Amino acid sequence: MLHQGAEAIVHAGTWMGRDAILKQRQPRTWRHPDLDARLTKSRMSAEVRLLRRLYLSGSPVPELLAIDAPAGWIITNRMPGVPLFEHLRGGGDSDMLEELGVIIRQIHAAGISHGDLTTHNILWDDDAGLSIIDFGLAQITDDIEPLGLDLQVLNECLKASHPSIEGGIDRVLQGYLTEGGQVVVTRFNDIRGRVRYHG
Amino acid sequence: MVIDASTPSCEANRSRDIKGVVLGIESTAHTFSIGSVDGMGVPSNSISAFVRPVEGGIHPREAADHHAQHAGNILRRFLDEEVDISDIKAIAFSQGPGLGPCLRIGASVARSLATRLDVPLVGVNHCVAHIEVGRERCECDDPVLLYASGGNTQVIARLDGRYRVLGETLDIGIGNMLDKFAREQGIPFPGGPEIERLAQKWLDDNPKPSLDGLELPYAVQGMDLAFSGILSAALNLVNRGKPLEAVCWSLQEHAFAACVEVAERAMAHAGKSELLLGGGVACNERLRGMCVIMSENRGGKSHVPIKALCVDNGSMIATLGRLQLLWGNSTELSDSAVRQDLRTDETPILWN
Repeated sequence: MLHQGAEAIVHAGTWMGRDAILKQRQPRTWRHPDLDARLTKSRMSAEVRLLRRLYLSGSPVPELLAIDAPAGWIITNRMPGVPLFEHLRGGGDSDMLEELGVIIRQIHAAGISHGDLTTHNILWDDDAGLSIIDFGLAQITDDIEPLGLDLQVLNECLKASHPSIEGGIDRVLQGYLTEGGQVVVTRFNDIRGRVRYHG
Repeated sequence: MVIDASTPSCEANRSRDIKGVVLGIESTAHTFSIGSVDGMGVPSNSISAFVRPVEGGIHPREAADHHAQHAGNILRRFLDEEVDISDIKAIAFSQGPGLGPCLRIGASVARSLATRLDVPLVGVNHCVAHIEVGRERCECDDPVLLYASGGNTQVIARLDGRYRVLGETLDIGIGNMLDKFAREQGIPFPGGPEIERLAQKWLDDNPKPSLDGLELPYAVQGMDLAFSGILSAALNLVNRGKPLEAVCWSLQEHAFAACVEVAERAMAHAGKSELLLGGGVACNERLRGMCVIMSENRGGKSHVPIKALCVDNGSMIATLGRLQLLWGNSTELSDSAVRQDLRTDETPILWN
C-alpha cells in the first residue's frame, strides 16, 4: 500500500510490465449509502473521462490503463517523483512553482477544474519535472468559480503546510498568467477576500 | 511520511501545578461565560448567559449590550459558587477572533479584574482554546480539529509549531446554515438541537430511510466546503412539500458528511491519526457518530469533549490561559486590545 487517502486506498505495483498505481475506492461507511453511491459514481466517472482528455492533450497526468467501475477501481501508470508536500517540507527548492502555474493554466484552459489541488496531488521529480495526479474531485466546467477555487485551495495549502516559502502563490500566478487566465486570477482574488482566514 | 519531528504530548502540560486558579472569560459572540481551571488544569463549571435573538441573527451591538448587562451577575455568582477570589492567580480572556463589540466587554471585565486583584492578564485565541480544552480533557495529543460552530467551520492541525487552518467554509459556518434553515421553519435560535430532534423522529418513523427525492448538493473542494447551496436546496425541498422531518434528516446527512470528508482529507494530508471535535455543532450525536466510524476505519480515534466544553465557555479560555502562563506568556495591558480578525496560525504554540 502506498497511501490511504480520503476516498481510496492506493497501491503501487506493475500492470502489463509497467509501473502502475491501483486506486481502489472504499465505501465511506460513515455516510448514508445512497449519498456514498452517488458521490462514488459521479466522481469516478468524472475522473476517468478527464484523465483521458488531459492525457491525450499532452498534460503531465497519469495514463489510464484499466478500469472496473462497479468494483470501484482504476489502474493508471505510476508518475515519477515524490509528492511536492514531501519535497518542500524536506527542505527541497521551490523553483518549480512558476512552471506549476503554467501546467495549472493548461488544465484550466481545457475547461477542467482539478478540485483538490494540494501539494499531495502534485508530484515532483528532478528529471521528469512536475505531474498532477488524483482527479477524484475534478469537473468539466464553463464557470470560472471552480477554477478560482483551485488556486485558492493551492494558496491555502502553500500557506498552511509550507509556511516557510515566501510568496509561493505569487510565483504560481506568474506562471499561470503567461497564457491568458487573468479573469480566473481576478476571481481567485475575490475568493481570497471572501473567506475568513486565508486572505 | 512523518516529517514533523516534534511529537506533541499533553502529559507535560497536565503534570505541572501552578498552585492557584486561572479565571477564563469568554465573550466572542452570543455567549458571555466565566469559568476556571485549577492549578492542574481541571475545569470548573462555567456560568454563562446567551443572547437569543427574537428574530433574525445576532446583532453585535445588541449582543454586547446583553453581555454588559449580565457580566456583573455572572461574575458574582461564579465567585459565590465556584472559586474563592483569593485563589485566583490569573485572568484569561478571549482576545479574538469574534464580534468586536462583544469581545470588548469580556476584555474590559478581564482588565479591571486583573488590575484590581493585581494578577497577570492572559489574552487567548478563541479557536486555539477549543483545541486545547479538547486535547487536555480527551487525552489526545496531536489531532486534526474539526471545529464546527455557528460562525466557524474549519479543519485545523499542528504543523511547524502553529495550528494551521487546512480547510474552511467558503461561505457560511455550518451552525449559521442550520440556524437559517430553522428560522425559515419558525424554529427559534439555536436551530441545531431542534433539527437533530426532528431528524431523529424521521429515523424513528422510518428505520431504513432512503435519500431518494431528498438529494442535496455536496460542495467539497480540496479541504474546503460550502453550505449556502445546501441551504437553498433544503428550503426548496420543504417548499415542494417534503416532510420537514425528512428534510432535517437529509440536511444533517449531507452537511455532516461534507464536514467529515474534509476532516478525513485533512488527516490524510497532514499524516495525523487523531480527530478532535469542537464547537457547538459538535454536540450533535449524528456528527459524533460519523466521526467515530471515519476515524476507526482509518485506524485512528475520534475524541469529543463533554458538551459543556464543546460550546463556547469560560473554562476553555482558562485552560489555554493556564497553558500560556505555564510557558511564560502573559499579556501586558498595553497589548490587550481585542483582535476581531485574529488568525488561528498567529498564535505560537509554546506549550506541549
